[in-house]
Amino acid sequence: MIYGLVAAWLVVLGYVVLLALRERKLRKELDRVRHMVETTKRS
Amino acid sequence: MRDKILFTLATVCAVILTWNIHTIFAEVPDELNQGAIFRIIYFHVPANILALSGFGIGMICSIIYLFTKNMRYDSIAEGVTEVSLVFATIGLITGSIWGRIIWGVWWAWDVRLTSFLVCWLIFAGYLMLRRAIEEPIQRARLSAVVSVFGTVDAYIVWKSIEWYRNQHPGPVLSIRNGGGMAPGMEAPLYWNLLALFLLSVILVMVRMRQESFAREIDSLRREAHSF
Amino acid sequence: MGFFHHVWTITHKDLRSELRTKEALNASLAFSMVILVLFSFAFDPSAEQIKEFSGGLLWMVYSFAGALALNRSFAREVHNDCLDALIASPIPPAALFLRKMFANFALLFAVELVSLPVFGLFYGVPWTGQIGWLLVVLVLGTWALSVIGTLFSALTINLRLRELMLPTLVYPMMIPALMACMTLTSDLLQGIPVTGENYTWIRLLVIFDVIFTALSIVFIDTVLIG
Repeated sequence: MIYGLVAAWLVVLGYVVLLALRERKLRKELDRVRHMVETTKRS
Repeated sequence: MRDKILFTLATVCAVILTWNIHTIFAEVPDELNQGAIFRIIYFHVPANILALSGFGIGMICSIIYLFTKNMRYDSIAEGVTEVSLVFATIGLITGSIWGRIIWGVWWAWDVRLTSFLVCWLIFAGYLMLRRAIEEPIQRARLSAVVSVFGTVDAYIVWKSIEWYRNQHPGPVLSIRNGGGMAPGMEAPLYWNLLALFLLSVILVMVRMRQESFAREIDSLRREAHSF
Repeated sequence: MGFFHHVWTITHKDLRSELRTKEALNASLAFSMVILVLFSFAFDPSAEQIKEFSGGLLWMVYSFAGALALNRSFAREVHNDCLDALIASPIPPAALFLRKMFANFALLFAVELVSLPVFGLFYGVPWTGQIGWLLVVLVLGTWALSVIGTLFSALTINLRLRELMLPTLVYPMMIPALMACMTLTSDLLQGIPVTGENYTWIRLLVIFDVIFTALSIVFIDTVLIG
């Protein structure tokens, strides 16, 4: 029975980790694109 | 502001879950026929309820998007469907483990398991479709149509298999006229439902924030290329 | 009246162009024969066993062959901007959808009618027993496959992974209809008449067809144009 609950929580944890990784990637991309727009504006 | 809401919800959710887990393990006695394993119901049933409602909410948001063309509703639909898919996965896994212990098999082609698997396949297809389309408006439009078709189909699958014999336990919650659970045992299920609902709200909010980042990146890229 | 005139004119045109080349017809027929042969290697059933899963086998053959034909249905119009021309024409999108659907239905039904006796021959299954009801099931099931397949073909035209996305989306959607068809066909091939419990499957098929035809007509506008 404990396996069932552990499995369920592992799925949730896995999804949270996936979300966190995606967020990090998106923030990096956002910063990169913002920087690109600013440099293009200045030049 | 949004972060504060997220934090409050997360705390409330954690409190309810901890208290509930304590109740489930310490206070609720073992069930007569099923023994200790029956406790899995406290996660299996709420997860399934949330998954199905989530798909329904996704469909409603998709329809609203098709009428209003407001991308916000597309984000909600996507977030809700994705989180519901996670809960459907949990439902399938916990159901499979429960089945292994009670029926002796990891899987049985029974009513609810089959229809849940079909739902899962339909909405996994929805997410795959979203990944395959780059243009945001086309993506929103086409996935909205798939969401509507998928939810209607999921409902038909449920109804159709309900006409057939099944080996899955019938409804036991008192709200569905089951009356099969002792009063003290039913309450933690509803508390867990609330806790998992809060968890799903948190996950959807996080997901939606990521969608707005993605949209901002998209529009900035377009701005950059237009110079 | 004008609406159905549109539908008929273009279904006629579609069928005629298909009959001239017979590409999709030949490919689907050949494919269904190949699958029938492959399945014979996969299983070595007794006469009794084969009757039990005859319905399942037959409908798997039809779905696979069907996916082949359905993939082409809107994809064929993409070359030379034919699809844009059709959308820009005064023909309502619903008429466009229906005529594609009828053309697909005719094609699939032809393939099924040819595959059925071949199946009966290869596996020694008598299929003429309840031919009336069998044809009803074939019509209803093929209609379901055509409706869902045509709509999703329209949906996936412009995608990179079109050939992959179409089956991935269509097959889960088709499961209730396929379930009904497989059960009914197995029962009919075993000589069990359509009564009581079986009849609910026929009802399910009809409901499925009606609901998804209506939904497709409503949404084809959104899918093709936006």
